[in-house]
Amino acid sequence: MKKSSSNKTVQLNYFSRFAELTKTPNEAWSTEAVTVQELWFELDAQYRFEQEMSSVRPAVNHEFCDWQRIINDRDIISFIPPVSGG
Amino acid sequence: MPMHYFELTENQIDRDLWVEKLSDPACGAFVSFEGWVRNHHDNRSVSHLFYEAYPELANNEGRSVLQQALVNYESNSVICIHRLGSLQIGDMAVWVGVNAAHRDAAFETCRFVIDEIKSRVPIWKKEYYLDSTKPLWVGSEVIG
Repeated sequence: MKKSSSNKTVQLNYFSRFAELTKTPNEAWSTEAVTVQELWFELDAQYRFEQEMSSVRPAVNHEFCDWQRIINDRDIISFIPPVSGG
Repeated sequence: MPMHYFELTENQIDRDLWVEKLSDPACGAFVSFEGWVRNHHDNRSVSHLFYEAYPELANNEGRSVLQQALVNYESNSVICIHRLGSLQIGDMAVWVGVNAAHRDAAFETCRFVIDEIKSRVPIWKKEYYLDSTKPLWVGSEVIG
């Protein structure tokens, strides 16, 4: 069965190396992606993050989530590169 | 009074202030960890660091680490303060303090907290080098 797709606009927040690659800390993004994983692929094609997906964690609305999380209109979404605090 | 407290700050960490908050007549043990900016990494001379965080998520995750620490170990209270912004060699980047009735719990809690903070809280450091090569985000960039 074909997935239903509809346009959503989400807010993307970028940090660390990803903010440097996108040249912005945040942007509004229109997408038909259903899951955050699909959105990652879309953004990776655009910005070429060159970061293994296994070392990245997605977050929606300031909480970590899994890659199959369904995207809703106006979600705040971030892809978290490897952390290095401490 | 048992408590946990996590804070991100652009200001210098005042260890005496936080130690005082952990003073408790019911606690016979206090353990702290301080992470300092060192002048080398992977055989390169480091000039300074820059720390960035995703504040909302880092605060959520930081609090979650501290809550989990008090579930896992029989400590009384735990505090973690993490610096953001530009730090110089020798500056304190992170402070963890724990009090407990006995030392085993205090040591174990402190170790758990700093390990978890380093592995899961969305904070990043960028290293700047004395040899004028390109600064790198630690963990997601390698020398090119």
